[in-house]
Amino acid sequence: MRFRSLIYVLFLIILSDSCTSKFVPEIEEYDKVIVVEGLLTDESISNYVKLSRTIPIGITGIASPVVNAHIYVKDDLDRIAVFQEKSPGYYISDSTNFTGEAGRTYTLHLSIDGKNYESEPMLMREVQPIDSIYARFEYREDGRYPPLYQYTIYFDSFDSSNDNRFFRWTYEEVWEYHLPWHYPPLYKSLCWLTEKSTDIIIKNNSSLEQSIINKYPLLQIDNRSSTRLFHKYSILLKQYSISEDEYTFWESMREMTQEQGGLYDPIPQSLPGNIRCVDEPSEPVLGFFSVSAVSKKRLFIRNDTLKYMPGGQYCVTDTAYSIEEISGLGRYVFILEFIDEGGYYLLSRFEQCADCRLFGTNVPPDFWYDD
Amino acid sequence: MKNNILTFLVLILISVKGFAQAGEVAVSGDFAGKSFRVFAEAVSERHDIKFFYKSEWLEGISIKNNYRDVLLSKVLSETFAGSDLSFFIDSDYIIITKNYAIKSRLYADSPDTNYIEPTDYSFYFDDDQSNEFQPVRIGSPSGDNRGNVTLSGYVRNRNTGEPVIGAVLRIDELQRGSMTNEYGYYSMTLPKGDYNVHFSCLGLKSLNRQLSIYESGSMDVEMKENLIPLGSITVTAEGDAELSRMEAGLEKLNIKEVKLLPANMGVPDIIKTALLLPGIQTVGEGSQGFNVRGGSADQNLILLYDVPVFNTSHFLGFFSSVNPDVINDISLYKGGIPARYGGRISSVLHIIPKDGNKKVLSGSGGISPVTSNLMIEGPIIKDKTSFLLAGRSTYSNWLLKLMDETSLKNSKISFYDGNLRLVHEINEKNNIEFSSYISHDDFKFNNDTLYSYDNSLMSLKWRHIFNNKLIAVFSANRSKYNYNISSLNDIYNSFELLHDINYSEFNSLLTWYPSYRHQVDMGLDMAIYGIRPGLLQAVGDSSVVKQTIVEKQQAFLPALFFSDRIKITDRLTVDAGLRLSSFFAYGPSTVFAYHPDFSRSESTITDTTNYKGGEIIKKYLNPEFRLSANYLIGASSSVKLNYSSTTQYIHQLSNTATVSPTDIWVLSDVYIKPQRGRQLALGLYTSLFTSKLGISLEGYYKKIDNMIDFKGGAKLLMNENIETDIINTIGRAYGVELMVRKETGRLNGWISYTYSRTELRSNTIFPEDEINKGNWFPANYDKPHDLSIILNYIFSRRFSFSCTYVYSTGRPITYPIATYTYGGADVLHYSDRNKYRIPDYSRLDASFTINGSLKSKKLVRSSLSFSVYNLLGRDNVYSIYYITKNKLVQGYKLSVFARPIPSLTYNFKF
Repeated sequence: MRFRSLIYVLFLIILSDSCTSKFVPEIEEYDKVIVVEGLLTDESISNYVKLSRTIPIGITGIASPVVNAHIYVKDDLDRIAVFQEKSPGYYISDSTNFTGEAGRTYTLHLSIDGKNYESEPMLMREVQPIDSIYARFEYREDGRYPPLYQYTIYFDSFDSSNDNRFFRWTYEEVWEYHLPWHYPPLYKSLCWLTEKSTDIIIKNNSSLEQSIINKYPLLQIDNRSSTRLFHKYSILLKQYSISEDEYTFWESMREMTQEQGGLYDPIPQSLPGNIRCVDEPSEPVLGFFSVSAVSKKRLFIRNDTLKYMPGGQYCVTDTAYSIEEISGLGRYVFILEFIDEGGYYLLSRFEQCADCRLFGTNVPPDFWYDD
Repeated sequence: MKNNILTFLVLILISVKGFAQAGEVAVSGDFAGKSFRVFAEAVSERHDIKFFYKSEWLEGISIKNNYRDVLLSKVLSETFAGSDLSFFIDSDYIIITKNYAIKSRLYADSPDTNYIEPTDYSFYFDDDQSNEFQPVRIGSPSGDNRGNVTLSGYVRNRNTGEPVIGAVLRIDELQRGSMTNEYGYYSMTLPKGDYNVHFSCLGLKSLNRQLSIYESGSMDVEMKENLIPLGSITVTAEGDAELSRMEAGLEKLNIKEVKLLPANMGVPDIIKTALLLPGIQTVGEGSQGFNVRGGSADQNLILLYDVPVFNTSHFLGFFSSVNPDVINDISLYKGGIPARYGGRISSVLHIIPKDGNKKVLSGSGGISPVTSNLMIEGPIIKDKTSFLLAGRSTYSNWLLKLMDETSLKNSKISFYDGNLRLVHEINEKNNIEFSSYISHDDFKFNNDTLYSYDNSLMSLKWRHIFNNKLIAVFSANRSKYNYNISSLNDIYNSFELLHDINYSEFNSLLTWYPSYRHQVDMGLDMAIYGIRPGLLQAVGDSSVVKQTIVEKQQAFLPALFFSDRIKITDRLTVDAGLRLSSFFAYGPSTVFAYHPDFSRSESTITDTTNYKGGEIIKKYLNPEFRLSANYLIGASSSVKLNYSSTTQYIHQLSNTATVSPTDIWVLSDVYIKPQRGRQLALGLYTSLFTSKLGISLEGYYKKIDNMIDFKGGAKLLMNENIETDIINTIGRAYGVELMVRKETGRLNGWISYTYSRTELRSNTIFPEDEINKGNWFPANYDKPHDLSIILNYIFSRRFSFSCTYVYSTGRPITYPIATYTYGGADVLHYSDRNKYRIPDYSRLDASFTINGSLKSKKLVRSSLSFSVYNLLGRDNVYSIYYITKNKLVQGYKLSVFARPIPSLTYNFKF
């Protein structure tokens, strides 16, 4: 609903405005709540369970993982797969042999500090392949520098069986990142940056005669807001076929987080997931144990198809004509480049201008040259 | 001298109450042989008595004797004996007439004397008032002048011919009174005799009638409008009417008052004005709907032309959908709802429309920053048939086109509404009315989804008077509400979504006045509802949207009602009523059965039953009791008590804090039980300083069953199993309302303060469906403290100033209390429902009105109003919300009107 925008229009009409400004309410202490994020797919590498507790509002970045939990998944044939804690609060399926199978039903069991939790039994559904993922390029000169180079990435998917009506997608972006100078060793100036989708991307096809996804706009990337398009970029799209309950869960979560701020917003409410505390049924448990088969498709966008992409990162730089001068400048100075013409060193006080490993890894992903 | 006689006539005809009669005065003096003039002067001086006579008549008349303590009447009789002079004594006035005697009763006992008919002098008076002095005779005295007769008739507005509603008629000799009903009709039973009948009504000149009634009959009167309506800011009718009115919790608003108060964007608004009365609240400014004594917005029955209106606002809730130009008055029943009204549990907002002027063609109009309105009314056949045509529209779309920003140029927001009313009087006994109303709204942001919604209603009413003790009203009504959401941007997904409600009703109401102690209302109300909850369909050939229809709901709702208003003693009046409401949902329909051990969901369906067309699926029968009692204490106070139980079979599903135009309505069915309300209210009323100051204090307690709430993440649109997303709540509300008002004088207005609480509790056996673990929680519209101050100051007939101040506790809100990371995004974890409150609300508005020339002969009368909404520019918080952006959760507050909003409105009348 675009009510907020409408309200904005309305107030422009009456020469006023509905205004929004930042606000921090005062709230009381509360009990921390267990959050379960679980995914079980037909790919063994994808399976994980993340356990955490909620963090009071206003405190950012302090994760509150739940450690030393006992976790296993049981299927309808009573087969068990145990999950091991790989890093605090992050549990992965033990056996590399263990993969989910479409058609089977799985239940997640958790034991945290002596209390038992379990999910509803979840059916693993088949998923159709993604037909295609593609990008549309747009170039625009709007008076600002640099001109805008923008890609909109779309995908198509078609379920001929029409069995699956609810979908969820996640994606993972990787791009090559070069520091604009060459003096530091190569391992510090060429990196691969990775980012996972955080938006909730879902679609309900139950009202369509055919379960068709046509030209679904996934995301937009451009040369102004990030470094993604400078050299080479790749995106991997994963498609999950989910149950209606899970769809409702994600949809509510999306509404609660992304679509607030109008006059007609739903009354917010914590979302019940599919996990409950066996020992204490009134204890709230957040999160969802998702079970789905997965299909994937990757798209590359290369610099040579883009030719030159202007724009870029900026570092505050300084210059020095000799090594002696550099050492006199203090400890936290990084040499970026030696400029032969003029014979001086280009320096920066900022490490991110000298070492790209602060953002990513200098090991190329194994698929990087697959295109 | 003539003037003295005139003064006298006015006095004699109006004053009825007896004082010490001048005739009883004993005179003493040696008057023998003195001229009458000398005698009169001496007596006048000593006894404070006034004589009225023509000097030439008394030339040559002298006093015959000396007197010692002789009654003045005797002295006069002796003096005038043998002459052609007569005298008449009225309290301390003595009138001497020649040739004719003045009679004190319309039918005097002595048929031999010649009497002056008061009408002989009527030509001296202003024509408008002549009727006051025309005695009305119904029958004539015969042998037996005992027994009761019935008086009835219409009270009409002399200027427009429209009925006067709520006019009070009073007969002091009997200490009895009555009130006109919504057709301006009254009926009362009284003993045969001669009376002075006093008629009064807010905004109209009071008038008297000399009545001599010896058989049942009718007396119609026409009341003139007050020449200077300025400053008649009165929330209720006259002080004594307020005291004798039955219902605790009835608020009346006259449209003139509504138009005088500061209006946002210059658009007068009945509902926004009603919010200034105690016990009436809203979730936030600019929101649709209102809440009466803890009821939700869908629990208000809004009747225009006696037909329910489903959507009550334009422009996303900023204006009410009913044009004030077509309204005379509104009555809002907060409690003590009469038995003839039913279907909604919290309140009845009865809009009393204008009939249209039966005398002359006239009209009015106005221009404000966003809207314009025009109304024309007049006779088709003079004094018989009238019409009223009114319309309103906005030019906001044109304003949008002027915007620079493309997104605004491509946006749309507009509304219009129109009213047509025809009233025809076939004869004395029969009257026909046709009324219709349409309203339309649409809006669209930047070529995105288009939302449009429409109201339309129609009513045909026939009023028949069988005799003056029994009148009947039969009406056939239709009301329709529909909305349409369409999106045509993506050719593969182009769709439109439709929702509509069709309401048809046949209503009969009989009012019977068996004796002066009783007024009986009874009738039968038969309504049919048809609701199409949702129809989704493709638009265009490429669209792959599958047509989906959520099954239609149909129901038949007959209701029988009976109420008797009994005057038990002169001080105690009781209105006892019963409404027997029933509901029959009928097919075709598919009803699912759910496993009783689990919370209803699609996976717990155990059985499916198909009902054929017309087959009854579910029936409900509910007796609703209505009782009001009013006890007068002394001359200026009263106590009122009432109890009402109400049932509601149609529900608006809204999971947002305020209702929105795209909320759907559903009927009760197997799973959605009727909402039931019970309210007990007690009120005290008193008027001080001869009705200059009125004070009312009311308290109420209310319980509501089967209110509707939703499970987390409920989907309301296009849901074929809506019962799986619904949970029931029960509600309790209580409050105390205090109102002090001053109705007269240059400075007038009112102060109202309400303390009230409204709490809800989920009512389910499944722990996972409970809200706040099954504990009581405040409703969205629970605002404990609510204060309104309304002041008007009239500088002169041309200039007036009004201001309103409003304060209320902030509404409850659910805040996020924690975050967690989920799927890479930060998600909010919310507090218990409505645990916190947004900051308190306060607002000051002011307006200044300049009336054009006051010359009554002027063709067009105009006025200019300058008003400022939110004069102090207070940044009132409407809502607090959170947005997760770049992995950071940030709270924002949304203020709807954060700045002063000035507006200038031009109104004219012709």
